[in-house]
Amino acid sequence: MIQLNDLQFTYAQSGFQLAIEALEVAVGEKVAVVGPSGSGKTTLLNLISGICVPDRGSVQVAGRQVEAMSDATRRSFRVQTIGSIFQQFELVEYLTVRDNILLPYWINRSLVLDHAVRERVSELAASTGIEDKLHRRVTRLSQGEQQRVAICRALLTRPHLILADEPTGNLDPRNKKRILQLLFDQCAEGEITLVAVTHDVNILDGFDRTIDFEQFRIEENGGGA
Amino acid sequence: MRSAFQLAWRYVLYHRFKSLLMVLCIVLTLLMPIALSILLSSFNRQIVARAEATPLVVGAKGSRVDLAMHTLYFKTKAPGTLPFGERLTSTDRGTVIPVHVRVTARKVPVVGTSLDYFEFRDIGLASGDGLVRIGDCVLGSEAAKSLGLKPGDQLLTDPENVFAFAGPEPLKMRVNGILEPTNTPDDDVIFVDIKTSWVIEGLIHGHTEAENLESGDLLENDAGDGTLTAAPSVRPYLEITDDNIGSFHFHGSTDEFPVTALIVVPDDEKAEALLLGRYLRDDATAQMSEPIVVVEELMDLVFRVKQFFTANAILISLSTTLLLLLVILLSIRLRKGEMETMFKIGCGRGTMISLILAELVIVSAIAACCIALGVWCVQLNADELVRGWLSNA
Repeated sequence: MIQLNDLQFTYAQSGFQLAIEALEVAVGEKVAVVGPSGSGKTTLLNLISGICVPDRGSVQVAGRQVEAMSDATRRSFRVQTIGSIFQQFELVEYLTVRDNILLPYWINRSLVLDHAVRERVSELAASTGIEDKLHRRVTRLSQGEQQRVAICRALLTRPHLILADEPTGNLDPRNKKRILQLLFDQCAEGEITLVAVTHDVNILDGFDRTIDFEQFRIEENGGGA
Repeated sequence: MRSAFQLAWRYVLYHRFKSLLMVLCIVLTLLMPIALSILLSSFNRQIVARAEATPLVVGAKGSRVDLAMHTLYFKTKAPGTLPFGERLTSTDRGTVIPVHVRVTARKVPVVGTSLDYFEFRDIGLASGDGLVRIGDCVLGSEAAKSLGLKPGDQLLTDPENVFAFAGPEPLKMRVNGILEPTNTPDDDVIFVDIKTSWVIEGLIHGHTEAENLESGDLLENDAGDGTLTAAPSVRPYLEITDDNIGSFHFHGSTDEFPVTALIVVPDDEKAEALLLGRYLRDDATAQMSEPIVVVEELMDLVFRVKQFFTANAILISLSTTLLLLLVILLSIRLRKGEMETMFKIGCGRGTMISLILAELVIVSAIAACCIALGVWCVQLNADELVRGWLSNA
């Protein structure tokens, strides 16, 4: 699913540099990326999703060279192929749960919002246990419920890959387990590859593989991730 | 684009207080100068129409503006009075209509005039009869509404002031008719015959017949020099009825009685020029003016003041635009997190810009609707508002 080769990326402002000789993630694999703060974990996710473009090397996702795409193509590729989950949930406060889940369809013209998509929103909400909260504003939900909404949003476009940046970082231990299990179940169901960045070593059990960022060559002149 | 508007609409609804403030800012900034312009236009139209319909006015020397506004709108105080005999200066060249406004009844001006006035202004009766005898009054349509009176009712004039014990006592007038609405200041006043206005001022009076009094009651003092003083028991009549109308009389000549203005309708242009010439003489004791000339001078001044308002409105609009721009920029800054999330999910910069523009369009559209509604309301009520203002000024 993911192939990184001879990758190098430098933040122009801070001078932080990330270099990865080779990294591969298979289809359906669940990979946890661990490492200390500022080691470049989030930068790795940004490179995979095409938010950042490497200075050198190649990023291949689902058989396509991400760095070679135009900005518009990268955006369409990102919204169609990758689902993103964030530590702070990153939900839009003025939208209801349903509209937040539908957000990728609101903001990208390459996706067509039809009846089937609306049906899928209800299905996802039911499978994540928030079906009775679809018309509520997200600000009225608990943190666990908000992360469920974020997971639904990431899964709506039937992505091949989910990139999760500290998906349980803002949750209490009980919710942490539940959300992680939910994420694993959904990924298993849809044969979705999962790359999750975390610095929480207690949640690594469910992953197929753990990549320790210490193994990569990192020249740190400032903050990175 | 449709989804940008849907998202923006949800944003506007969620941040309704902020959106409402923005709408209010735009509405107030744009509606005020537009409303002022509409009102001023209506003011100009009404005041010019009234002035054009009143060819010449004669009054005591003093402010031409006061004289014109008093004759046209009745509420401004006249520069003074002139004797009713002054009409004789103009009667050979036109029709002279007296206007005497010095008293009120329940705060509504009482206009003493002649029947020619109603013909001159083309005012008909909506109900009842016209001025049949002294002591009768007819009410303008709005005055009748505000006073809640109908033909057959009675109306007491206001005393000059509450401590005027020695002054003339209020007269109980008979409401004889209600005039048709004219949408002019004539709707807001009470009309009486000029002689009735002199009765109200005590210049014409009626009292107990001398033959019905004991000889001792008639005179309090006979100084022997021809000056007779009536005793307090000689009661003046406070109401004119069919029974006592015969006792009403005046001392001296009505030509000496006061009027606050005379409306002169000259026979033709030549007569108008000649009449104006008569009052240009150095020995003229009164003044004659053309209300339209006075009003045009006044409007010239008003429009000059309006230019300052317009300049002010432009400056306020500019500063409001800058403030709104600041609000939008701050709003974008506050939404940075939301924008970043959208970008990470797959939103293009163009879509983000269209989101912000859609919000602006929605706020502007709501403001435009409010402005259109406001303009419509102002236009609908401008004439009435201005007429009310002119009548109460």
